[in-house]
Amino acid sequence: MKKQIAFLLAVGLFLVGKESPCSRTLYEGQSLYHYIRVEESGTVRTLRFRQKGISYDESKVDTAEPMRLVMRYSRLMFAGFLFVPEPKRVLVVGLGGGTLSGVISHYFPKAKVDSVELDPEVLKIAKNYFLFRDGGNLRVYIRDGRVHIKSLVRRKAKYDIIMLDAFRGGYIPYHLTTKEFLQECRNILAPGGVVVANLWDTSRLYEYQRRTFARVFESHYAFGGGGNKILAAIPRKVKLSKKELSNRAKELQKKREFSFQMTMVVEEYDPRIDYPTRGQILVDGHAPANVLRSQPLR
Amino acid sequence: MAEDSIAKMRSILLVMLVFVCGWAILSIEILGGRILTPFFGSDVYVWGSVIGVFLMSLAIGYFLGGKLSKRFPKPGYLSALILVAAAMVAVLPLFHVKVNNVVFDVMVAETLGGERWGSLMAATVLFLVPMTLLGMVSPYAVQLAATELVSVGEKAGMLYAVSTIGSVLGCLMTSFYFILWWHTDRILLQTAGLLVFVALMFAGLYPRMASEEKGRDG
Repeated sequence: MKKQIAFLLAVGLFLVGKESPCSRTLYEGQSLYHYIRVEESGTVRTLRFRQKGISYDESKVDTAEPMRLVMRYSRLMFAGFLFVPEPKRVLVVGLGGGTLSGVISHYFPKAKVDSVELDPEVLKIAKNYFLFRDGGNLRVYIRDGRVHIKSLVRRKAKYDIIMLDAFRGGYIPYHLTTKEFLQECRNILAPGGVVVANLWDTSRLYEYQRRTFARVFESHYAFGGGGNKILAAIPRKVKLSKKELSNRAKELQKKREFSFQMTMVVEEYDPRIDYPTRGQILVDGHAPANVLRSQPLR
Repeated sequence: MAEDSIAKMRSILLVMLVFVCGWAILSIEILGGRILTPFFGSDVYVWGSVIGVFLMSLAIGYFLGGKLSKRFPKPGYLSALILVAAAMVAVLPLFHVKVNNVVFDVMVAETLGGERWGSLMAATVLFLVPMTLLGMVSPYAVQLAATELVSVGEKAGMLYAVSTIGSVLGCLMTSFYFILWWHTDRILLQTAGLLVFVALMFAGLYPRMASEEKGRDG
C-alpha cells in the first residue's frame, strides 16, 4: 500500500514537473540573450527561458482574465504598495511577459510606470502573446537595467517604487546584485520610496543578497519563501507590525479592487532574519553571483 | 659556466618572462570585462570592446617592440618595459571607477545605445597603453634569443607558444577561480606583483650571465 502511494506521488510529481500534456507551444526561438518558449495551457500562457537544459517560468498571463496575476511572486511584488499606496512613478526592471508592469499600470492609472528590459525580443513576445500594450502611462526602455538606472541617477530622476525582477531563471546578471547597484537604486528613490526585489531563498546567493540589501537599506520586509522571496527595502527606519500591514492591505484593496487579495500578500509576511547577518556582501569588484546561485543553502 | 648552459639559462629566463606576460595580458583582459560591466552592461559588446582593445594593443606592441629591440637589444630595456606596465596595472584600482564614470557621463548617460562606444572608449583609456607595453615583450624576447641562435624561426615559435600557453592559463584561472575568490582590484595588484617579480629577476640574472660570457671570451 505504502509503495503504491509512493508510486502515485511520484507519478503526480512527474506530471507537475513536466509541462502539462494539454499545453501547446505558441512560440519557440532563440534571442540574443535567451532561448525562449511560449506555451499555452487552457487560457494560461507561460513565458519560459531555458538555461542549461532547465526551463524557468518567467511570466504567466490568463488571456481570459489578464488582470489576474497568475504567478504567486508577482502578487507578492505588490507588497511595495503597502509602503507607497499612492505612487506617482514606478520603475520595473525586467519586463518578462509584461504582466507585472501591465497590471500595475492598470490599477494605478495615475502613476507613470516605466519598465526596463534588456532583450528586444522579449518586448515583442510580450506584445504578441501576453496582451502587453505600452503607451499611455506605461513605457518600456530597451536597455541594460544597470546602465539605465545609472543614467537615471545622472538625470536626478526619482521613483516611488523600484521593482527588481531581472534576476529570474538560470542566469543572474551579477551587476544587478551589488552594493553599488543598490546604492544607485537608493539614489533614484523619491522620499518615502521603496525598492522591491524578487529573490530566491534556496541558494547561497540569497544570504549574500540579503546582507547586501541590509548594508544599503535601513528597513526590510520579506514576503513569501520556499522559492520566491520578495524583499521590500526602505532607506529609512520604518516599523510596522503585521497588524498595521494588514490594515494597509485592506485599505489598498478597498480603493484599488485588485483581482487578488492584498491581505493574502500580508499573510505571507515573514519577519524572521533567515540569513547570517555577518559575512561577505556582493560588490562590483567581487560578486560571484552565478556560482552562489548554483549552491543550495541547506 | 659552459657556453651552452648559459644559453640554456637565458632561454629559461626568457621563457619565464614571456609566460608570465602572456598570463598577465589575458588575466587582465578577463578582469577588464568585470571592470566595465557595472557601467556599460554585461552585453557582448563589452567583451567585443575589451577583446578589440587588447588585440589592438598587441598589434601596436608587436610592431613597436620589434623596432625597439632592433635599436636597443639589451635585456635591461625589456625589464624596464615590464616594470612600467606593472606600475600602470598596479594603479588601475585607483582610477578605473573614475575613468568609467567620466566616460559614462560623456558618452552614455544622455545617449541611448551610447554604451557600445562608451565601453570601447573606457577599455581604450584603461588598457591600451599598459597592454601595448606587455605586447612589446614577445618580439623583444625573440630578438634577445636570436642573437644566440641560428634558428630564429624555431626560437620565435617556441617563445610565442609559451607566451600563448601563459595566456590560456591566465585566462582560465582568472575566469574559473580568481574572480570567485578575490576582488578584481586584488587580482590586478597580484598580477602587477608577479610582473615586477619576473622583471626584476630577469634584470638581475640575465646581464650577469652575459658579462660572465664576455669575461671568458676576452
